[in-house]
Amino acid sequence: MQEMQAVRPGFTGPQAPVLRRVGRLPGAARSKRMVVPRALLDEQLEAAKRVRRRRLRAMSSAPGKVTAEQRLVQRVTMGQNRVEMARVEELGYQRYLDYQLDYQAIDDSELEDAIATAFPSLSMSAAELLTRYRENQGVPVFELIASSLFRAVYSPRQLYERMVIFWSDHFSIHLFSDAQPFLKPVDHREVVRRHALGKFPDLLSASAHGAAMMVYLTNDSNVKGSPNENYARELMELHTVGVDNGYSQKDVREVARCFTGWGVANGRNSSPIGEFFFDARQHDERTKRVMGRTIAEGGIGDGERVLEILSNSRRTAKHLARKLLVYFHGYEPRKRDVNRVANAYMKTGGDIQAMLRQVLKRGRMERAQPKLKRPFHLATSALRGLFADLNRPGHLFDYLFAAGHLPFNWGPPNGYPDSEAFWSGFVLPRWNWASTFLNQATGGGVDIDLPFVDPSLSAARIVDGINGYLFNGALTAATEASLLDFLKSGKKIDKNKIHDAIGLAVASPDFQEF
Amino acid sequence: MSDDECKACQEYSQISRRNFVGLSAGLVVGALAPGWLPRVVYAGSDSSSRDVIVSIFLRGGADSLSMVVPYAEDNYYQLRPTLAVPRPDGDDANRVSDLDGFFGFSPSMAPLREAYDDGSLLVVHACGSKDPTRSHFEAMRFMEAGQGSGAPTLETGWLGRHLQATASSSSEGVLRAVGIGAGLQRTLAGGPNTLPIADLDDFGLEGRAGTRKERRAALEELYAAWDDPLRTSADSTMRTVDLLRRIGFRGYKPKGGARYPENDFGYALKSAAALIKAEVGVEAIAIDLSGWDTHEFQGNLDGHMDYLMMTFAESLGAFHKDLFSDDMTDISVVVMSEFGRNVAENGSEGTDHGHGGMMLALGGGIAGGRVLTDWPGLADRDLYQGQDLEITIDYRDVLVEILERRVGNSNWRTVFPDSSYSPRTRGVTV
Repeated sequence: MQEMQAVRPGFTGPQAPVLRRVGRLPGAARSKRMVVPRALLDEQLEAAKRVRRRRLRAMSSAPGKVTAEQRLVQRVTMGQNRVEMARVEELGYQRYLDYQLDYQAIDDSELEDAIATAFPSLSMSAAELLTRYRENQGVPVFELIASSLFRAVYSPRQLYERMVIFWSDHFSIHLFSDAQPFLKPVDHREVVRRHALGKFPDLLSASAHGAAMMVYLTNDSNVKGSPNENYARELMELHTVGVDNGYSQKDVREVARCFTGWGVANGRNSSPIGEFFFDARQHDERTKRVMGRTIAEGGIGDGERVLEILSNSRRTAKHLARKLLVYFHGYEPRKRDVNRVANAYMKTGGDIQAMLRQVLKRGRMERAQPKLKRPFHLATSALRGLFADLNRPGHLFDYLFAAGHLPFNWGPPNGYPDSEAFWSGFVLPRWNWASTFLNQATGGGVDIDLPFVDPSLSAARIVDGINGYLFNGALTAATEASLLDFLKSGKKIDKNKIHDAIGLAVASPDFQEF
Repeated sequence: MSDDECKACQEYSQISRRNFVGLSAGLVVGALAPGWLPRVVYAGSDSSSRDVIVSIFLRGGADSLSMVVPYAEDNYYQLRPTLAVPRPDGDDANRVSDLDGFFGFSPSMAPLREAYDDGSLLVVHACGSKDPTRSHFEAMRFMEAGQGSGAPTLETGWLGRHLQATASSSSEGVLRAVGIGAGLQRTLAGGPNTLPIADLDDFGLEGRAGTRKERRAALEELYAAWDDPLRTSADSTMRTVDLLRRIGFRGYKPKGGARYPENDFGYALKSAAALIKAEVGVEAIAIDLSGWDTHEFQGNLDGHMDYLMMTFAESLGAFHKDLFSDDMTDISVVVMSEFGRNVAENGSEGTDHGHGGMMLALGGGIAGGRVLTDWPGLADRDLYQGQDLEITIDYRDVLVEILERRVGNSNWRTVFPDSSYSPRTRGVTV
C-alpha cells in the first residue's frame, strides 16, 4: 500500500484538525443540505395524520404496557411512529415481520436517489475517493455519517437499517483513522450494507477481503516471517467465535500466518488501488494448525480456509446469537434462546434472516424487557415519531459527539457497547439535545409540522398529540400529568412552549427506553 | 508537526472535544463564580484528609519497555533491533535518561523527571494483571473490575466498590467520583454519586431560559419516580450541574507555571486539578488515554509512541507541578494499562500484545524517586510464555496499599474479592 502510505501523513497530520472539526465542517460540506424528499415526508405525514386517533387508542394498551406488535415495531425500527404502528395493525405480527425482512421489496428509491445526489462520495471506489478528496477528507466523512442518519430516520427499510447499525458495530472501523475516509465508505457499502440481511459467511468474507478492515487491523502489514497478530486476534475474539473461546495464543499466531500476504493494492500492481491484493511472495507457505486442524491449502486458500472454519463453528453461531438477542430482545438473554438462534444459524449456513426469525419470535417478544436507547437511537426515534424534517444534520453531530455516539467514531474494534451500564450515566446530553434541537427558538435543526403543534388547542389536546405521535398512546400517567402541568403553568401556550413540551417528552424517562 | 508524529494524532484522538464546545454551549445556567476562587470559598463542607485518587488508564496495551527502559539488559537491545532506545551513556541525541543505573526514561518521558526527582513519582516495573488473556477488552475488564478470569464476573469496578464501602468524605457527597468521558469507565462502575462527564466546563441544562426552571422541575420529578439506573443518574446529574456551576473551570489558572498541553488528555488533567482544588468532595477521578495499541511503526523517538508518551508525560508533569506548587499534595495518581507488549518487536516495527507492564504512582504520600521492582529479566528462560515480561508484582498490591495508607480503607477484600488473591505490602507509600 505504498500509494496509500504516501498519503497517510497528509491526513494523519494536517488533516487531523479538519477531521476533528467535523462537527462544524467549514463551508461546503457542513452547509451542504440533503433535502429530505418532500414527497416522501409529505406522504408519510399524510398517512400519519390519516391514522385515526381512535384506531391508535384501540391498539395501544394501558399506559406503560405494550403489546407484542408494538414491541416488535419498537425493536425492529429506529423509532416507532404512527405509520409503522398502523402497518403492524393491518398486517399482524408475522406478516409485518415478513414485510420488514423482505427488505428489497420495500421501495426506498426516493430516499436513495436523494442521498445519491446529495452525497456523491457514497458511491465511489477507494481510488475515486482518494483522487477526489485527498485534500478534503472531511467531505466523505461527513457524507457517510449524515447518510447514516438520514437512512436511519427516513428509510422505509427499517429492520434492514437497524441491522446495518448492528453490523457497523460488530465489524467496527474507526472512520477517523488512517486512510479510513477513503476506505470505510467502500466497506460500508460493499460489506455492511450489501450483506446486512444476507449470509454471515459472505459478510465475514467480504470484511476480511476489504481494504478498510485490512488497514484498520493492520493485516496489510502481516507478512511472512514476521506475522502481525492484530487481525487474527480480533477476527476470532470479536468477529466470530468470541473471546478466549476455543482458541489459544498459539492459534492466534497460526491464524496470523494464514493471512500473511493479504493486503491492499498500492496502485503499482495489476489491481486498482485500494482493492484487495494477495501478494504470494509474502505468504508463509509452511503448514499451519488452527484450532486442532491442519491448514495446508496454500496461498490465499489458507486464509479462506480459516474463514470457513470460523464461519462453520457453533461457537460463532452462539456468539452472534447472543449479540442479536441483546440487541433486539434484552440485556440478559436466556441460554435456551441463545441455543435456538444458534441452531437457526447452523441449519441455514449462517442465514441472518433465519436467525432474526428466531430472535423476533412472537412469544419471545412478549417476554422482552425494556432496553435503554443508545444516544443515536434516541435522536432517530424522536425524529421518526415527529416526522421531523431534518434540515441541519450537522447540529445533530454535535449532540452525538457530546453524548459519545457519533457514528463510526468508536476507536477500538469492538464497536459501541450495547449495555445499560455504559450509557445510563450520561443523561445530560440527551436532555439538552431534546430541549434545543427540537425547538426553533434555540436554533434547532428540524421543522415539525404536526396538527397538535397549534397554540389554539387546549393543553390536553396537545399532550394527547404528543402521546399519540411519540408514545403510541402508552405514555405513563406521571409523564402525561407532568406535561400537562408544564403547558398550563406560567405564560400562555405559544409555539415555542409546545416545542418545549415536545422536548420535555423526549427527555422524559419514558422515552429513553424502547 | 512531523509526518511521523501525525500517525499518533489519529489513533489517539477521537475528535477533539474542545472544538465542539462553544457550538452548542452558550446557554450555561446562571451566574458563574466570579473568576477562579480557590479553596477558601468551598472548603466549608469538607474536612477530608484522604487522598483524592486519580486513576489513569492507558488503553491499548502500553509498551512499558519503551517508557521506562531496562537499558542495562542486553536482551532488550537484541530483541528490539529497530525500536530500542539508545543507552544513556552513548552520544545519540535521543537516548535514555538514567533513573537508577538500570532503568531510564525514554526522551519523551522527560517532563516527568521533576516529579521523579522530588520523590513523588514511583515507577513499579514488571507489574500488571496476572490474567493470561491477550484480549484488550478482557484484560481491561479484569483489571478494572479488579479480578482474574477465574472469579465470577463483576460488573462493578475496584474504585467504585471502594467508594461503596466507605462513607463520603464530605458532608454533601454530591459528586464523589467523576469519569472523564462520555461513558463511565468500568473502574468506577458501582460507585455512589459517580458520573461520567465529558467536559467539566460544559455541564449545564440548556434550552430556553424562560422555561428552564419548570422543565428542570418536571425532569426531577419524573426521574425520581423512575427505576435505576436512570433515577440515580438523573439525580446525580442535577446536583452536579449545580455543583460544577459554582466552580467556573473556564477561569482556572494553573499554579507554578504549569502548562498543560492543548489536547484532550491535557485538558482532562487540568480539569481534574481544578476540581481537586475546589475541594467539593470529589474523591476519585478516572481518566483515559487511548491509542497505545502499537502493532506497527510505533516510533519511540519520532512517531506514534513518542507522541503518546509526550502527551502523557507533559500532562502528568503539568498536573504534578500545578498541584504541588499549590501545596495540594494529598493526591494519589495511579497509572496502569491492560498489558505490556511482546519483548521482541514484530516485523512491522511495532509490538504485539504481551503480558507484564508497569504502573506509575504519584503523590505526596508516595515513596517515589525510585523504580520498585522484582525484575524477572529478559533472557529467554525468564520470559512469560517465552515472549513477554513476567509479572512479579500484582497491580492490586499497589492499589491496596494506597487505599489502606492514603485513603484509610483497609477492607481490601471488598475491593478485590478474588479469593485467590492476598496482597503483599511493597512499600509504595512513605
